Amino acid sequence: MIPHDLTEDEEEKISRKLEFYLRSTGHLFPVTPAQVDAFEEYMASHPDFTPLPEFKLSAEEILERGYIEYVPKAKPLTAEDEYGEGFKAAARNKGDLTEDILKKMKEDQEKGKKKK
Amino acid sequence: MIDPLMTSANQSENNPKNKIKKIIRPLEDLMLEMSLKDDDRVTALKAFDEIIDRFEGYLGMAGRKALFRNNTYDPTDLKTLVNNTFLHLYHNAENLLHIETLDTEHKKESLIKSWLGTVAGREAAKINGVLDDYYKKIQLKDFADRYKEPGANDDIEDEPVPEKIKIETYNDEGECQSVEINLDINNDEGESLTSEEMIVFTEVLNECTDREKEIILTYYDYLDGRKHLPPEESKRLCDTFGILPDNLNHIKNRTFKKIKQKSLERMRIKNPDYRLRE
Repeated sequence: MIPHDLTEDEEEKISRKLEFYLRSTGHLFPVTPAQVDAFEEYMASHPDFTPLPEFKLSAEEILERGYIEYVPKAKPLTAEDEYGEGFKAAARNKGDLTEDILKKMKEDQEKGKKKK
Repeated sequence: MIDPLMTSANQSENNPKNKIKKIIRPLEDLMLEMSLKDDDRVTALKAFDEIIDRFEGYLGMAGRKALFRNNTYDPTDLKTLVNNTFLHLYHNAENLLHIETLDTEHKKESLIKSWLGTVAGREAAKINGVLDDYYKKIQLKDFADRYKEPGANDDIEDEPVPEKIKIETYNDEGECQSVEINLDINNDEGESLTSEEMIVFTEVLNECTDREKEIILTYYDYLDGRKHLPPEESKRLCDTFGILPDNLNHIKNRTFKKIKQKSLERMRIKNPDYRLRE
Protein backbone atom coordinates (compact mmCIF):
# COMPACT_ATOMS: atom_id res chain seq x y z
CA MET A 1 0.00 0.00 0.00
CA ILE A 2 1.34 3.42 -0.92
CA PRO A 3 1.75 5.74 2.07
CA HIS A 4 -0.48 8.75 1.81
CA ASP A 5 -0.56 12.00 3.68
CA LEU A 6 -3.20 11.92 6.37
CA THR A 7 -6.05 14.35 6.19
CA GLU A 8 -6.46 16.76 9.09
CA ASP A 9 -9.42 14.77 10.30
CA GLU A 10 -7.57 11.45 10.15
CA GLU A 11 -4.59 13.05 11.82
CA GLU A 12 -6.68 14.24 14.75
CA LYS A 13 -8.55 10.99 15.22
CA ILE A 14 -5.48 8.83 15.09
CA SER A 15 -3.69 11.18 17.48
CA ARG A 16 -6.45 10.66 20.00
CA LYS A 17 -6.30 6.92 19.51
CA LEU A 18 -2.54 6.87 19.91
CA GLU A 19 -2.76 8.83 23.13
CA PHE A 20 -5.50 6.52 24.37
CA TYR A 21 -3.28 3.54 23.53
CA LEU A 22 -0.30 5.03 25.39
CA ARG A 23 -2.36 5.83 28.45
CA SER A 24 -4.32 2.60 28.54
CA THR A 25 -1.16 0.50 28.29
CA GLY A 26 0.62 2.42 31.04
CA HIS A 27 3.26 4.21 28.97
CA LEU A 28 1.67 7.35 30.35
CA PHE A 29 -0.64 7.87 33.33
CA PRO A 30 -4.31 7.32 32.50
CA VAL A 31 -6.06 10.66 33.02
CA THR A 32 -9.69 9.99 32.13
CA PRO A 33 -12.08 7.40 33.56
CA ALA A 34 -12.23 5.58 30.21
CA GLN A 35 -8.42 5.37 30.11
CA VAL A 36 -8.36 4.13 33.71
CA ASP A 37 -10.79 1.34 32.89
CA ALA A 38 -8.88 0.37 29.76
CA PHE A 39 -5.59 0.40 31.68
CA GLU A 40 -6.96 -1.86 34.40
CA GLU A 41 -8.33 -4.24 31.80
CA TYR A 42 -4.95 -4.24 30.03
CA MET A 43 -3.07 -4.92 33.27
CA ALA A 44 -5.40 -7.79 34.10
CA SER A 45 -4.42 -9.51 30.87
CA HIS A 46 -0.75 -8.45 31.04
CA PRO A 47 0.15 -9.04 34.67
CA ASP A 48 3.37 -7.44 35.84
CA PHE A 49 5.26 -9.90 38.01
CA THR A 50 7.88 -7.48 39.26
CA PRO A 51 6.93 -6.85 42.88
CA LEU A 52 6.01 -3.30 43.74
CA PRO A 53 8.08 -1.63 46.43
CA GLU A 54 6.42 -2.00 49.79
CA PHE A 55 4.88 1.36 50.49
CA LYS A 56 3.50 0.91 54.01
CA LEU A 57 1.95 4.32 53.75
CA SER A 58 -0.33 5.69 56.37
CA ALA A 59 -2.18 8.98 56.54
CA GLU A 60 -0.28 10.19 59.56
CA GLU A 61 3.10 9.41 58.06
CA ILE A 62 2.32 11.11 54.77
CA LEU A 63 1.22 14.26 56.55
CA GLU A 64 4.20 14.12 58.87
CA ARG A 65 6.65 13.83 55.99
CA GLY A 66 4.84 16.39 53.88
CA TYR A 67 5.90 17.02 50.33
CA ILE A 68 9.10 15.19 49.44
CA GLU A 69 11.43 16.84 46.96
CA TYR A 70 12.75 14.59 44.20
CA VAL A 71 16.43 13.79 44.25
CA PRO A 72 17.99 15.01 41.00
CA LYS A 73 19.42 12.21 38.93
CA ALA A 74 23.19 11.93 38.91
CA LYS A 75 24.76 12.58 35.54
CA PRO A 76 28.25 11.58 34.42
CA LEU A 77 30.75 14.11 35.73
CA THR A 78 32.91 16.12 33.40
CA ALA A 79 36.13 17.83 34.44
CA GLU A 80 34.21 21.07 34.46
CA ASP A 81 31.58 19.68 36.81
CA GLU A 82 34.17 18.16 39.05
CA TYR A 83 36.59 21.03 39.45
CA GLY A 84 34.25 23.86 38.61
CA GLU A 85 34.89 27.34 37.39
CA GLY A 86 38.05 27.74 39.53
CA PHE A 87 39.88 25.17 37.45
CA LYS A 88 39.05 26.91 34.20
CA ALA A 89 40.00 30.30 35.60
CA ALA A 90 43.35 28.98 36.79
CA ALA A 91 44.04 27.52 33.36
CA ARG A 92 43.09 30.77 31.63
CA ASN A 93 45.07 33.05 33.91
CA LYS A 94 47.92 30.69 34.62
CA GLY A 95 47.11 31.38 38.23
CA ASP A 96 47.21 29.20 41.28
CA LEU A 97 44.72 26.46 41.81
CA THR A 98 42.50 26.84 44.83
CA GLU A 99 43.05 24.67 47.88
CA ASP A 100 39.86 22.74 47.25
CA ILE A 101 40.95 21.81 43.75
CA LEU A 102 44.45 20.85 44.87
CA LYS A 103 42.98 18.67 47.61
CA LYS A 104 40.63 16.99 45.15
CA MET A 105 43.46 16.39 42.68
CA LYS A 106 45.59 14.88 45.41
CA GLU A 107 42.77 12.57 46.46
CA ASP A 108 42.28 11.49 42.85
CA GLN A 109 46.00 10.76 42.48
CA GLU A 110 45.97 8.63 45.62
CA LYS A 111 42.92 6.75 44.43
CA GLY A 112 44.74 6.10 41.15
CA LYS A 113 47.81 4.76 42.94
CA LYS A 114 45.71 2.42 45.06
CA LYS A 115 44.07 0.97 41.97
CA LYS A 116 47.47 0.13 40.51
CA MET B 1 20.22 6.72 48.49
CA ILE B 2 18.14 7.69 51.49
CA ASP B 3 14.65 6.34 51.30
CA PRO B 4 12.46 9.01 52.85
CA LEU B 5 9.50 6.72 53.04
CA MET B 6 11.10 3.91 54.91
CA THR B 7 12.28 5.86 57.94
CA SER B 8 9.10 5.73 59.93
CA ALA B 9 7.04 3.42 57.77
CA ASN B 10 8.60 0.34 59.27
CA GLN B 11 7.31 1.15 62.69
CA SER B 12 4.39 -1.15 62.11
CA GLU B 13 2.87 -0.69 65.55
CA ASN B 14 2.29 2.94 64.76
CA ASN B 15 0.70 2.20 61.45
CA PRO B 16 -3.08 2.35 61.92
CA LYS B 17 -3.54 0.11 58.90
CA ASN B 18 -2.08 -2.76 60.88
CA LYS B 19 -4.55 -2.34 63.69
CA ILE B 20 -7.96 -1.98 62.10
CA LYS B 21 -9.59 -3.91 59.35
CA LYS B 22 -11.59 -1.25 57.59
CA ILE B 23 -15.08 -1.47 56.21
CA ILE B 24 -15.39 -0.16 52.66
CA ARG B 25 -17.43 3.02 52.75
CA PRO B 26 -18.75 5.20 49.92
CA LEU B 27 -16.03 7.35 48.41
CA GLU B 28 -17.97 10.58 48.72
CA ASP B 29 -18.23 10.03 52.48
CA LEU B 30 -14.47 9.67 52.68
CA MET B 31 -13.94 12.79 50.59
CA LEU B 32 -16.35 14.71 52.79
CA GLU B 33 -14.60 13.60 55.97
CA MET B 34 -11.21 14.58 54.53
CA SER B 35 -12.53 17.92 53.40
CA LEU B 36 -13.62 18.62 56.99
CA LYS B 37 -10.10 18.06 58.27
CA ASP B 38 -9.98 21.42 59.99
CA ASP B 39 -12.98 20.49 62.14
CA ASP B 40 -12.25 16.84 62.85
CA ARG B 41 -8.72 15.76 62.13
CA VAL B 42 -9.05 12.25 63.59
CA THR B 43 -11.97 11.33 61.33
CA ALA B 44 -10.21 12.92 58.36
CA LEU B 45 -7.12 10.82 59.00
CA LYS B 46 -9.15 7.63 59.19
CA ALA B 47 -10.82 8.48 55.89
CA PHE B 48 -7.43 9.28 54.35
CA ASP B 49 -6.10 5.92 55.54
CA GLU B 50 -8.98 4.16 53.83
CA ILE B 51 -8.38 6.10 50.63
CA ILE B 52 -4.70 5.13 50.73
CA ASP B 53 -5.66 1.50 51.24
CA ARG B 54 -7.98 1.56 48.27
CA PHE B 55 -5.79 3.42 45.80
CA GLU B 56 -2.13 2.79 46.62
CA GLY B 57 -2.06 -0.48 44.65
CA TYR B 58 -3.44 1.25 41.57
CA LEU B 59 -1.20 4.28 41.90
CA GLY B 60 1.87 2.14 42.49
CA MET B 61 1.11 0.00 39.45
CA ALA B 62 0.37 2.94 37.14
CA GLY B 63 3.36 4.82 38.51
CA ARG B 64 5.77 2.00 37.96
CA LYS B 65 4.56 1.42 34.40
CA ALA B 66 4.90 5.12 33.58
CA LEU B 67 8.30 5.56 35.23
CA PHE B 68 9.74 2.39 33.76
CA ARG B 69 9.69 3.67 30.25
CA ASN B 70 13.02 5.44 30.05
CA ASN B 71 15.11 2.94 31.98
CA THR B 72 15.63 5.33 34.85
CA TYR B 73 13.13 3.65 37.11
CA ASP B 74 13.99 4.04 40.75
CA PRO B 75 11.70 2.61 43.47
CA THR B 76 12.51 5.60 45.67
CA ASP B 77 11.13 7.95 43.02
CA LEU B 78 8.00 5.84 42.81
CA LYS B 79 7.46 5.94 46.55
CA THR B 80 8.03 9.69 46.57
CA LEU B 81 5.58 10.12 43.72
CA VAL B 82 2.92 8.05 45.51
CA ASN B 83 3.49 9.95 48.76
CA ASN B 84 3.21 13.36 47.08
CA THR B 85 0.20 12.42 44.98
CA PHE B 86 -1.74 11.26 48.05
CA LEU B 87 -0.74 14.42 49.86
CA HIS B 88 -2.28 16.48 47.04
CA LEU B 89 -5.43 14.38 47.28
CA TYR B 90 -5.74 14.99 51.01
CA HIS B 91 -5.41 18.72 50.58
CA ASN B 92 -7.84 18.81 47.65
CA ALA B 93 -10.51 16.43 48.93
CA GLU B 94 -13.16 19.15 48.86
CA ASN B 95 -12.63 19.40 45.12
CA LEU B 96 -13.75 15.81 44.67
CA LEU B 97 -17.06 16.02 46.50
CA HIS B 98 -18.84 16.07 43.17
CA ILE B 99 -18.21 12.38 42.70
CA GLU B 100 -21.50 11.85 44.51
CA THR B 101 -23.31 12.88 41.34
CA LEU B 102 -21.99 9.75 39.64
CA ASP B 103 -24.30 6.79 39.91
CA THR B 104 -21.97 3.89 40.63
CA GLU B 105 -19.07 3.31 42.98
CA HIS B 106 -17.04 2.08 40.02
CA LYS B 107 -17.45 5.39 38.17
CA LYS B 108 -16.49 7.30 41.29
CA GLU B 109 -13.43 5.15 41.73
CA SER B 110 -12.40 5.60 38.08
CA LEU B 111 -12.78 9.35 38.39
CA ILE B 112 -10.57 9.47 41.46
CA LYS B 113 -8.01 7.29 39.70
CA SER B 114 -8.02 9.65 36.73
CA TRP B 115 -7.48 12.57 39.11
CA LEU B 116 -4.61 10.71 40.75
CA GLY B 117 -3.17 9.97 37.29
CA THR B 118 -3.32 13.62 36.30
CA VAL B 119 -1.51 14.71 39.45
CA ALA B 120 0.96 11.82 39.32
CA GLY B 121 1.82 12.73 35.72
CA ARG B 122 2.82 16.21 36.86
CA GLU B 123 4.83 14.75 39.70
CA ALA B 124 6.56 12.31 37.35
CA ALA B 125 7.72 15.16 35.14
CA LYS B 126 9.44 16.70 38.13
CA ILE B 127 11.55 13.57 38.56
CA ASN B 128 13.22 14.21 35.23
CA GLY B 129 13.36 17.91 34.99
CA VAL B 130 12.33 19.55 38.26
CA LEU B 131 9.81 21.65 36.41
CA ASP B 132 8.28 23.67 39.19
CA ASP B 133 8.51 26.91 37.27
CA TYR B 134 6.77 25.37 34.28
CA TYR B 135 3.96 24.03 36.41
CA LYS B 136 3.44 27.41 37.97
CA LYS B 137 2.47 28.50 34.48
CA ILE B 138 0.14 25.59 33.84
CA GLN B 139 -3.28 26.25 35.18
CA LEU B 140 -4.25 22.68 35.72
CA LYS B 141 -7.47 23.42 37.45
CA ASP B 142 -8.59 21.43 40.42
CA PHE B 143 -11.47 19.11 39.95
CA ALA B 144 -13.83 21.58 41.56
CA ASP B 145 -13.09 23.99 38.75
CA ARG B 146 -13.51 21.23 36.27
CA TYR B 147 -17.09 20.83 37.38
CA LYS B 148 -18.06 24.30 38.45
CA GLU B 149 -18.64 27.30 36.33
CA PRO B 150 -17.16 30.42 37.92
CA GLY B 151 -19.59 31.78 40.49
CA ALA B 152 -21.57 28.55 40.75
CA ASN B 153 -23.14 28.08 44.13
CA ASP B 154 -22.26 25.28 46.46
CA ASP B 155 -25.41 23.30 45.95
CA ILE B 156 -23.58 20.54 44.17
CA GLU B 157 -26.53 18.20 43.89
CA ASP B 158 -28.20 20.50 41.42
CA GLU B 159 -25.17 20.77 39.21
CA PRO B 160 -24.92 18.43 36.28
CA VAL B 161 -21.57 16.76 35.75
CA PRO B 162 -20.16 17.99 32.46
CA GLU B 163 -18.96 15.48 29.92
CA LYS B 164 -15.75 17.34 29.24
CA ILE B 165 -13.42 19.64 31.07
CA LYS B 166 -10.97 22.14 29.75
CA ILE B 167 -7.41 22.39 30.95
CA GLU B 168 -5.60 25.57 30.09
CA THR B 169 -1.90 25.72 29.40
CA TYR B 170 0.51 28.31 28.15
CA ASN B 171 3.03 27.74 25.40
CA ASP B 172 6.54 29.19 25.25
CA GLU B 173 5.22 32.42 23.79
CA GLY B 174 2.83 32.81 26.70
CA GLU B 175 -0.24 32.11 24.56
CA CYS B 176 -3.07 30.41 26.36
CA GLN B 177 -4.15 27.09 24.88
CA SER B 178 -6.84 24.80 26.15
CA VAL B 179 -7.21 21.07 25.91
CA GLU B 180 -10.43 19.17 26.43
CA ILE B 181 -10.54 16.02 28.48
CA ASN B 182 -13.42 13.62 28.25
CA LEU B 183 -14.87 12.82 31.66
CA ASP B 184 -17.95 10.90 30.71
CA ILE B 185 -17.20 7.26 31.23
CA ASN B 186 -20.08 6.23 28.98
CA ASN B 187 -19.04 8.42 26.11
CA ASP B 188 -16.38 6.65 24.12
CA GLU B 189 -15.73 9.37 21.59
CA GLY B 190 -12.13 8.62 20.66
CA GLU B 191 -11.89 6.84 23.98
CA SER B 192 -11.79 3.21 23.07
CA LEU B 193 -9.71 0.90 20.93
CA THR B 194 -10.52 -2.33 19.14
CA SER B 195 -8.21 -5.27 19.73
CA GLU B 196 -6.99 -4.83 16.15
CA GLU B 197 -6.00 -1.24 16.86
CA MET B 198 -4.24 -2.30 20.04
CA ILE B 199 -2.19 -4.88 18.13
CA VAL B 200 -1.26 -2.44 15.37
CA PHE B 201 -0.18 0.31 17.77
CA THR B 202 1.88 -2.21 19.73
CA GLU B 203 3.62 -3.40 16.57
CA VAL B 204 4.30 0.10 15.31
CA LEU B 205 5.57 1.35 18.67
CA ASN B 206 7.86 -1.68 18.94
CA GLU B 207 9.45 -0.66 15.65
CA CYS B 208 10.38 2.76 17.02
CA THR B 209 13.79 3.33 18.54
CA ASP B 210 14.11 4.12 22.25
CA ARG B 211 14.92 7.70 21.29
CA GLU B 212 11.81 8.08 19.18
CA LYS B 213 9.62 6.54 21.87
CA GLU B 214 10.99 8.72 24.65
CA ILE B 215 10.59 11.86 22.57
CA ILE B 216 6.95 11.24 21.69
CA LEU B 217 6.07 10.10 25.20
CA THR B 218 7.63 13.24 26.59
CA TYR B 219 5.54 15.32 24.20
CA TYR B 220 2.42 13.50 25.36
CA ASP B 221 3.43 14.20 28.95
CA TYR B 222 2.71 17.80 28.14
CA LEU B 223 -0.95 17.15 27.56
CA ASP B 224 -1.65 16.36 23.94
CA GLY B 225 1.61 15.82 22.16
CA ARG B 226 1.52 18.98 20.12
CA LYS B 227 2.44 21.63 22.63
CA HIS B 228 5.84 23.16 23.00
CA LEU B 229 8.00 21.43 25.53
CA PRO B 230 9.27 23.46 28.45
CA PRO B 231 12.92 24.45 27.83
CA GLU B 232 14.23 22.24 30.67
CA GLU B 233 12.57 19.20 29.15
CA SER B 234 13.87 19.98 25.64
CA LYS B 235 17.35 20.33 27.07
CA ARG B 236 17.05 17.01 28.90
CA LEU B 237 16.07 15.20 25.72
CA CYS B 238 18.82 16.91 23.69
CA ASP B 239 21.43 16.05 26.34
CA THR B 240 20.21 12.48 26.71
CA PHE B 241 20.27 11.72 23.02
CA GLY B 242 23.04 14.09 21.93
CA ILE B 243 20.90 16.04 19.50
CA LEU B 244 20.31 19.70 18.72
CA PRO B 245 16.99 21.41 19.54
CA ASP B 246 16.13 21.73 15.84
CA ASN B 247 16.71 18.03 15.38
CA LEU B 248 14.50 17.27 18.36
CA ASN B 249 11.58 18.96 16.71
CA HIS B 250 12.33 17.26 13.43
CA ILE B 251 12.54 13.80 15.04
CA LYS B 252 9.29 14.41 16.91
CA ASN B 253 7.39 15.42 13.75
CA ARG B 254 8.86 12.58 11.73
CA THR B 255 8.08 10.00 14.42
CA PHE B 256 4.51 11.14 14.90
CA LYS B 257 3.93 11.07 11.16
CA LYS B 258 5.51 7.64 10.83
CA ILE B 259 3.48 6.13 13.66
CA LYS B 260 0.21 7.55 12.44
CA GLN B 261 0.74 6.63 8.80
CA LYS B 262 1.99 3.13 9.53
CA SER B 263 -0.81 2.47 11.98
CA LEU B 264 -3.51 3.56 9.61
CA GLU B 265 -2.04 1.61 6.71
CA ARG B 266 -1.72 -1.57 8.75
CA MET B 267 -5.24 -1.27 10.07
CA ARG B 268 -6.43 -1.00 6.48
CA ILE B 269 -4.37 -3.98 5.44
CA LYS B 270 -5.91 -6.07 8.22
CA ASN B 271 -9.34 -4.73 7.48
CA PRO B 272 -9.89 -3.00 4.09
CA ASP B 273 -13.14 -1.50 5.40
CA TYR B 274 -11.40 0.04 8.37
CA ARG B 275 -12.61 3.52 9.20
CA LEU B 276 -11.47 5.80 11.98
CA ARG B 277 -14.51 5.98 14.17
CA GLU B 278 -15.76 9.20 15.66
